[in-house]
Amino acid sequence: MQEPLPKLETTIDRPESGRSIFTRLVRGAIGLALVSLLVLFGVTMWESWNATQRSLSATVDTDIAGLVDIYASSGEEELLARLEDRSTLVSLEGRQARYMLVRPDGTILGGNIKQWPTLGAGLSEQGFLTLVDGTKVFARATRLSPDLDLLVARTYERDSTALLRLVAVFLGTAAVIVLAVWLIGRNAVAKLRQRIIAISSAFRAAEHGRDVDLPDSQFDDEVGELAYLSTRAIGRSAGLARTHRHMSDHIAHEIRTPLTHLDNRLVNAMRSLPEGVDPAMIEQGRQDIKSVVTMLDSLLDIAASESRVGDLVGLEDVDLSALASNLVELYDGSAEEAGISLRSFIEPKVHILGEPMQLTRLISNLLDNALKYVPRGGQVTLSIADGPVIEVRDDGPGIDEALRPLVFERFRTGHHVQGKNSHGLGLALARAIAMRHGMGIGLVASQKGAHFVIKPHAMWTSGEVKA
Amino acid sequence: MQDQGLKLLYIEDNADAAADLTALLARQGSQVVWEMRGADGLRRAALEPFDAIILDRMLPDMDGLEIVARLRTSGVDAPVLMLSALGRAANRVEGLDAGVDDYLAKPYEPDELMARLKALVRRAEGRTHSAIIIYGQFECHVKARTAFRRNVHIPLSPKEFELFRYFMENAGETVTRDMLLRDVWKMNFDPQTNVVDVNIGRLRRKLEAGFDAPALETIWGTGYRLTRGE
Repeated sequence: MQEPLPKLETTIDRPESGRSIFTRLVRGAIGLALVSLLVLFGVTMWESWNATQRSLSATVDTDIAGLVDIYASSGEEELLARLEDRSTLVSLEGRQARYMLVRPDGTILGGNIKQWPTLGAGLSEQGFLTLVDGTKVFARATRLSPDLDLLVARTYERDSTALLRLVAVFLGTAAVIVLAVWLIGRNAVAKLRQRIIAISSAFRAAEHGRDVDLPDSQFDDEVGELAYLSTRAIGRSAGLARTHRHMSDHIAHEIRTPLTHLDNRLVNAMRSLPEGVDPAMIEQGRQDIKSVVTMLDSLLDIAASESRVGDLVGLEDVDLSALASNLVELYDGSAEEAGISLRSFIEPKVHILGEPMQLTRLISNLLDNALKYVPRGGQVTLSIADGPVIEVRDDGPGIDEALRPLVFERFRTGHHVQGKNSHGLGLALARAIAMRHGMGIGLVASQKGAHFVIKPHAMWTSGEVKA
Repeated sequence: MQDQGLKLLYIEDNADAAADLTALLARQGSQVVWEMRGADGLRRAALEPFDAIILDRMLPDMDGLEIVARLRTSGVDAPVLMLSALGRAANRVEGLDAGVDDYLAKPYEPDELMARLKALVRRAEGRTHSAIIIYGQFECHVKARTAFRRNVHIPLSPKEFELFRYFMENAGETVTRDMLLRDVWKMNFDPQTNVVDVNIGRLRRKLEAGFDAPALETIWGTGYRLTRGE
């Protein structure tokens, strides 16, 4: 068998989460800021470009209207003269005027554009285009008369520069906003995280039985209220645990003390018996006292284990394999004497976070149970596997179908158990100890005998029934 | 070590319990000084030497575990046997972890109490065992982990040797089932079955095979005692 690596069972002690909701919150805020800026940037750029286009179009159209008037009133020569004049003008927006006057056959009559673009004069088309000298312009072509076409254009280089400035401003602003969100978010989140961690630490400290101090509960906000309620819940839980312990101690004290006096009196009575008188009756009385004490201890042990589920105080790393091997060695002789074959399948180095004495008692109870009821010639098997999974199975008479759901209840014994000196608390204690260690115990279906399984809650499948 | 005549301090708030135990120990020849309060017990322990201290756990003025801690810090090194109504396995573990030398639950078997006290005093006297322990016909070679009776080697399993060694270290004294469970099997509870008796039975058969005289005698209701085998 391959030796598994030593593993500390941590079904009870859940480690601190490596993922932080606060880091995700900051990332989310930065992402949201970026998306918002991107949308705003797009809308602004689109609107700015449209406004530029509308402005260029209005400028060109106004110019054409004026030139049409000049042509209509003063003729072609005057128009050429005006085009010459206007070609040198630059508007306040920095737009230069460009013109071209041509015959439909392509003869150039005047203007500062060397080549007619693809715009159709007959349809009075307009648009952005690049002239042969590389200048980018917005232009409209128009037909002044059947033998005269006019092209009017405006450069928009400074409009583009303004748009680029707008882009730069947006990028700069976006960087500043993201940085601000990151800094403010990080600062706020660090404080909030610190307060939440204080609450988590308080719960962890309580699990380990340490005192809890949550100064955060002084804050008058949601986290403060959470801290306040947590402090109260932890305090109440600790108070209940203390009360339970004191109550258990007092019950034990108040019952055991008078029983001790009674036992001492019986011892004195036995001592003063005349020679030849059988002390059996008195001895039986002493055995009855021991039986009551044993039952009391079992009940208190069950209550203590159940009340300490999730409590990490007193738990340590236990080599379950070594513990089980020690028990097999102890029970081997009893099994042999009873004519029962005790077999064990123990994987090495199976570890668990637990109380060694409680775990010893858990396995011991199941072995006691099996050896008590399996007849001579029978077989009892103890298995320990990684998980950890503890199994005790036998080929004895098994447990009545009707009793199976109740077998882990207190004071439950089967008909075949009568006369076996049992209080019916062994399996109830086994269940309580399993719960204390973050595990469940179940009676698994088997063809013959009883088959008990103990394993962490997470390992139980939906088809299996645990107590 | 003296078998009788122990000088003991008993700290117990219940007068009836104190009277019962004092009478029992007096019959065994021991002298018992009784203190009802923890503080008085502490003072007495600091003033007088005792072979051992028997201590109740639930005292009206302080917890027995606190008394143990204060005894140790004040330099009192007399062994302490806690005799308590809190007798669950968890209580015993707590007591032993807190520095108590032995823990016995009420109601107790008188012979068991005496055996525990003697074992405690013996341990406190610092009796160290050599590599070879000899008692009557028996020899225990600790390092070699071998057992002999009248120079005849007795083959023992590792756990049987642990048992034999424990008897040899407590030769001539009563060893109780609880002591064996605690010291050999490291268990602080009674499994409620005859596991100890069966293991002792196996050891007994091996120690007595081929010899007439018994090796182990049963102290009824209490435990066992190794004989000299003669």
